[in-house]
This record gives sequence, C-alpha cells and structure tokens, in this order.
Amino acid sequence: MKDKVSAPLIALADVRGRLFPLLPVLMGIGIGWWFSLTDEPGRCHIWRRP
Amino acid sequence: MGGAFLCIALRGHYLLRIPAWGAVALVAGFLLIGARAWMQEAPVLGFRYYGAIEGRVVEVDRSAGDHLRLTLDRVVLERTAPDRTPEKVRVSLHGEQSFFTPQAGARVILTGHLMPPMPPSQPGGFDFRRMAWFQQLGALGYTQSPVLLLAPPEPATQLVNRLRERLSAAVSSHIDGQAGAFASGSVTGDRSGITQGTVVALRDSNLSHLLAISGMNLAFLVSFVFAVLRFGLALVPVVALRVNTKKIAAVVAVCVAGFYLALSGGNIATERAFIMSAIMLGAVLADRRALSMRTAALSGIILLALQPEALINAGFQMSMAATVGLIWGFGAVDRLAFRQRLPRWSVPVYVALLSSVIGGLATGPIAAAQFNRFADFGLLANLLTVPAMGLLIMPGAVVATLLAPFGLPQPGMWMMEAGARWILAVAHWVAGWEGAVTGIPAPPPWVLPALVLGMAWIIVWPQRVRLLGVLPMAVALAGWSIAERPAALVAADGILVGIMGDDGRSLSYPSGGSFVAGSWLRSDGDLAAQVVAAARDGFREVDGIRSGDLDGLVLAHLKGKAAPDHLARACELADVVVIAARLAEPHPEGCRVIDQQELSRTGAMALSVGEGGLVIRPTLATRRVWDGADQ
Repeated sequence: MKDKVSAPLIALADVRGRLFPLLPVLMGIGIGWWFSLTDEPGRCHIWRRP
Repeated sequence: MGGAFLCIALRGHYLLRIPAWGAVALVAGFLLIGARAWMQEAPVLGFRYYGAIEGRVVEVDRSAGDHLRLTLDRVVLERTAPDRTPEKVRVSLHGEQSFFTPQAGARVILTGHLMPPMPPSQPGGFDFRRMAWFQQLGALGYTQSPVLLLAPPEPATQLVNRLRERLSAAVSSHIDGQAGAFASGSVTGDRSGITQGTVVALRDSNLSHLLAISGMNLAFLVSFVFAVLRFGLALVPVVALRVNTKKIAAVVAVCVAGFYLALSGGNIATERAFIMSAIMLGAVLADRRALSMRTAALSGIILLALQPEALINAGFQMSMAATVGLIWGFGAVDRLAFRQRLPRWSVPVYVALLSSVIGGLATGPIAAAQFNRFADFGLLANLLTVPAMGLLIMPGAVVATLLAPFGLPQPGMWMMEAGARWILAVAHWVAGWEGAVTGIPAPPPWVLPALVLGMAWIIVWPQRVRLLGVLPMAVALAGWSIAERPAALVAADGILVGIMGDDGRSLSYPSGGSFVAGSWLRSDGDLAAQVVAAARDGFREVDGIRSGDLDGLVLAHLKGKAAPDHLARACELADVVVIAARLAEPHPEGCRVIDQQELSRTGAMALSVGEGGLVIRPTLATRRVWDGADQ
C-alpha cells in the first residue's frame, strides 16, 4: 500500500526539473475555477401549456 | 489551506513538496483573482443616463461602428453623486466631430447617453460586464453633439500617451492613407486612424496580430536592436576588445523593449512579450540559456500574478500558445536535425515557414473558440507579410527614430511605407478570396480548458506518458463538433428573438439589437449579417405580429410602442410571447409571456422544447458585483 502511494510521488520527484511549466497551468486552473464559480448558469424551468 | 500547502512545499517531506507546490499554485491563482476583483472595485452605472459628461481623455480608438471613441477618467456626471459616478466611461463620437482633435490628457465635456456595460447576450455567453469591471469601466455610451475642449493636457501628465500621439501624427504625415494609419498603429499602438474596412481585411486574412502589437512585433524590435548593437560594436576594436558587447546589446535592448511597452499602451500580449524578453536578456547577462520553456512559464506566472484576469483574454491565450508552441515545436523539429541538412540559403525560408505553421496550429483552436471564425488562407497571408514586418516596418521605425533628430526620418519612413502597403495589399487580396473565412460555432465552456490542458500535458511530460495528453484533446474536439446551439434565444432587453432553422438562425427584426444579433450569429458560426438572418424563413408577420415555429410551439415577438396593444391577439396566435416592454397589468392567460420585467431578473434566455413543455434557460443565476443594477 505504501509503495502504491509513494511510487507516483517518487516518479514526480524524478522529473521535478520538467514540471516548472506546470505551475502557470495550475495557477490558471485556480483562476479558471474562480471564474467558473462566477459563471454559475441559471436554473432551467419548464413551462407547460395549461 | 494555501498556507498549509506552502509549509509542506517549503519544509515538508521531499516527496510531498512537488504536489504541495502544485496545490500552492492552484490556491494562489484562486486567491489572486479574488483579490484582484476586490481591488478593482469601482462604481458601475446602474441606470441609463443622458446629460453632460465631463472627463479626462485617457485613450482614443475606434468603435466597431467605425466611430472615434474616447475613454475618459476623472468623470463628472450631472445630478450624479461622486460615489455613484464610474471611475472610467467610454463614449463613441457620432455626428460631425471633424473640428475636434482628441488629445490624451485633455479635459473635455460633451452631452451624451451612457448606460451600464451590457450583460451576456445568451446563457454561457461572454460577460462584457465582468471584463469592464476589471478595467474599472463603469459605463458606455455615445454622443451626437460636438465634443468641447475644456482644458488642454496638463504639463507632465499623460506623457507617454501624448508622445504616442505625436509619433503617430509624424508617421501619418509622412505616409498617406491607411498605410500610414497601419504603420503608426503597428508601431505605436494608436489605432484611431484605422478604418473598419482595414480591420476586417486584417481579421479575415488572420493578420490582426500585426496590428495588435503582438509579441512578434516586440521580438522583431528587440532582435533588430540587439543584432545591430552587437555586430555594430564588434566593428569597433576599442570597444569589442575591452567590454562584452553582447551584454551591452542586451541592456540596451531591454531598455528599448521597456520604452516600446510603455509607448504601445501595454496590452496583454505586449506585456507578456516584454516580460519574456526581459527574462531572456537577463539570461544573456547571466550567461544562461535565453529561450526555454522555463522562460515562457516564468513570464506566464508573472503576468498571471499581476493581472490574473488576463487568463480569459484572447490576446494572452494566443500569445502564450504561440510562444510555447514555437519553443516546443522548434525543439522537437530540431531534434530531427532537419535544419542541418538544409542548404544555407533555405534556412530563413524554413524558419519562416515552420514558425508560421506552428504559430497557426497553436493559436488556431483558440482563435476559433474566441472569435468563432477561421481564416482559411491565414497561413499564406502570414508567410507573405510577416517578413515585411520584421525586415521593413520595425527596422524602419528604429531608423526613422534615430535619424529624425537630424531631419532625416525619410529613409525609415520609406521602409515603413513599403512594408505597410505590402501588408495591406496582401490582407485585402487574401480576405477577398472566396471562402476566405469559415464560421466556427462556439464550443461548450469546458472545451478550451481541456484542449489547453492536453497541450500542456504533451509539452511537459517526457516520452510515452505525454501521449495521454491526446485524450482530453480528442474528447474536447469531439465535444466541440457535436455541440448544439440553442433552438431559440431572447435578448436581455427583449428587443430581439432568434429561432434556429435549417439554413441558420432567423432573427425577428432586421434592425435593433445589432450587438446581440452579431453575438448570436457569431456563436452559431454564422457569417451572415442581421438583415440577411432576418430575411430567412422562420418569422412571418400576421396582423402586425411576428411569429415563428419552435419545434411545434409558436413563438411571437412584439416590440415598439404599440406592443402592449397587440399582446392579447398575440396570445391567441402563439404559445409563447416575448414582449419588449414592462407590463404593469397581469399577463393574459393561455400563453407564456416573457416581458422586460422578467428579463431584468433572468438576463437573456435560451428556449427549447422538451420534457413536455418549453424549457427556459436564463443567463443570470446570482447577482454579481459587476451587474451594476443594485448599486
């Protein structure tokens, strides 16, 4: 179980030099998350002919 | 939570540090944009205003209707308390204004109409109010009366804007017509002289980026200055043998880039290019590798930290995509060692071709999603014109600036004129071809993020793992291709209704609500004008009432002063009646009435038939600070 958890972390640590460009992408996800909250769509309602 | 992640990232177990840094970046992005929205708080006009408008000119450009347009700050409005007066307003100048020459920094007064920034034209549509909020732009409007100059610019204020105007006037005085306007626009950022015809030709040939002071313009300028200084100083043995000319060239080039950023008005793409150039030239000073994915990532982090709202700006997205695509693409192609096998004379052609192809591939999906159009011959137009920008216009601007103090700006102006005339000739030629533009329907909101994440995954990860990035991209493209547009749309003020038919969306009226009509048709991937869309089969007129079929239901639209008088009859004819009026008395029974009272709560609506009735999807769910109506 411990290996299953640590293996991906070790893999990440091995390629950490390559991961710097992911930081602005993750920042962008955080910003996009905020925008998506402000873009909350209106709730649909249904009108049926009486 | 962000603090906890930061502690782990700095002091935690080494295996947890990388995921913790990722979480810090994510939380930082969320907090930064929230803080920015709070910091940019300024009054938004909550009502329609007509009266005197006084303010200081901070920007001069042209509206989509080809009218001169002023952005004013330090605004004073009649009968309006300062705490309800917007920080900035934007006014289009209609009517005869030829006697007025706008100057940045000048204080002006005019009589005009102002209204709050427009809400989204459809559910999920672009929210102009949100963009205006981040610019502290609280009202938009127009005037048909003459603009009066109250006071000339104060000394030592708006210096950069005034310098831009003087340089722009100098270029226009040497180069006639639209070529002069284009040359000054692409060099100084002053686009007030560029007509709508030129804007459309550049857009339809995918050459707008030449005018947008994109990163490419700055890169051409920095490269030219760096190369001239480096090779020029190398010819002077006294200097070349004593100092590092490469570093001197880098310092001067970064100063020139900073000056150009200020002069051009500092749009997002230019800011990104400046940050990247500064980092690259800093790397030259520190004897490090100048152009790398890390440089691009660092400029992205700095820009998002300073202006997090830039994330949803098309200029930022396209600028980053082009830069990252070029760095990655050239790296990948160079690993295949093509360039070494080519004859020397063909290398510039190869570089121009490859950069245009990579740039087009990287920015194409973003441009299609943001502008709902694809310039089919954009690659050819770019191949023909980009060298003119790099070899004639930007060097010409530098030569003209350097020789102007000696009264010899002409050689530089000739270079700029030749480049500008060539670019405009190509733009008009290509834009005039049959099928020059293809309309692309707007994608669902998740498509663009999925495409970008897929691209980022492919770029960042090594070897086979990167292939996983194809998966979100494929899902995104599939989702885009099968996305359905709403069967019917109702404008937020009830002034226009559109029903989707076999030959595209049919509009209820050929005039009125032109901004909304343009937005709906663009999002449908439809290149038709409002008049054409209104002439399509869809709406018919019976007893002065326009109505159309919506999947078995009849939808009627009433507008004008007599609209309430027709309501009872319309209700007999139709199942659903949209009326551009606020109804005081109860609605007639037997039909569903949608009036401006309801629309003011819901915003624009999308209608469709399903689940045994009419499905009504409003735009607005919750009031936001940028809505303005509650202020």
